[in-house]
Amino acid sequence: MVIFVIGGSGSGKSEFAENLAVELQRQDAGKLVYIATMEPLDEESKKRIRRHQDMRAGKGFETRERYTHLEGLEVRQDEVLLLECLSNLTANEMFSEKCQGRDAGEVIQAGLLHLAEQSRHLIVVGNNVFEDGLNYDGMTREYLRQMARLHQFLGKMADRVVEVVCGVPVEWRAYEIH
Amino acid sequence: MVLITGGAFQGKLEIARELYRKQNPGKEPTVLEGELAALGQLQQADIISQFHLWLRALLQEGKDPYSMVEGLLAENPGVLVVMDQLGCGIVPVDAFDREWRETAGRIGCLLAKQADEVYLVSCGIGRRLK
Repeated sequence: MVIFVIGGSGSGKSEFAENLAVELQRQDAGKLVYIATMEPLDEESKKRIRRHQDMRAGKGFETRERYTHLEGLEVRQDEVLLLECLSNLTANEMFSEKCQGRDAGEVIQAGLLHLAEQSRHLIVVGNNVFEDGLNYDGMTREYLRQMARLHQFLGKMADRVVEVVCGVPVEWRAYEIH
Repeated sequence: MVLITGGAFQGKLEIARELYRKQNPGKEPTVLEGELAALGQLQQADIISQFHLWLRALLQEGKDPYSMVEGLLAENPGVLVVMDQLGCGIVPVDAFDREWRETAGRIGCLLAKQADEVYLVSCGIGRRLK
């Protein structure tokens, strides 16, 4: 099963996603794997990483750091994967030197398909950054566009799409029109 | 009138097209971008996209968006209006941007009140709110 969890900053989406992963692992057994996408480049990112490490401590996750090239990550059929988060991964793929010449949206789609096919469950966390009405310049706009493309891709692919608001899950797929 | 709203780049226009085709089998909708079209054209359109940019253009021209919207809906009561959600960021530094953001929010509420149907779109998924 593929689950896409979105929310704003501080919405509780990470905690929700972690608990969901734990629940799925309890239900269907297997191994809990956390795919960490944030590179510890400066003090602020290190602090953020520590906060997330503390939050999932004791929940039984093995952490696999993966900043780019998701399509090459080895995963196993019995694993419950939590990928956090899509916005970091997109930024890494777009702006890191190792990734020049790759179409970020395209390669991440391939990476997500690979993870979904190779694992038991895949949970992806994304940021809802599309509702501030600001008109951004070239690079930021392109970043938003690439990320939105991935959101729509996951919107099609995921069995469940959940928006977390103040820690409360709001289901999207269940109310889809058609 | 039908209102389709949600964040930027979320697939709102595609949902509007699907809704139109469902209501009008075998027909393709005329889609106009609010910002670029004249009022006369908007009165003929099946779908108006980027409605928030039309509001912005009206404010820039010093026109009253409320009466303009009222006039548009009187002429084109069956139109599908596609509009971005703008209000979930930091208050803009620029006074005009503040006015536009607020106006777009208020007009969104007015449209939703008058609409026969309201949809919210995220990740390409449409959800009926009304």
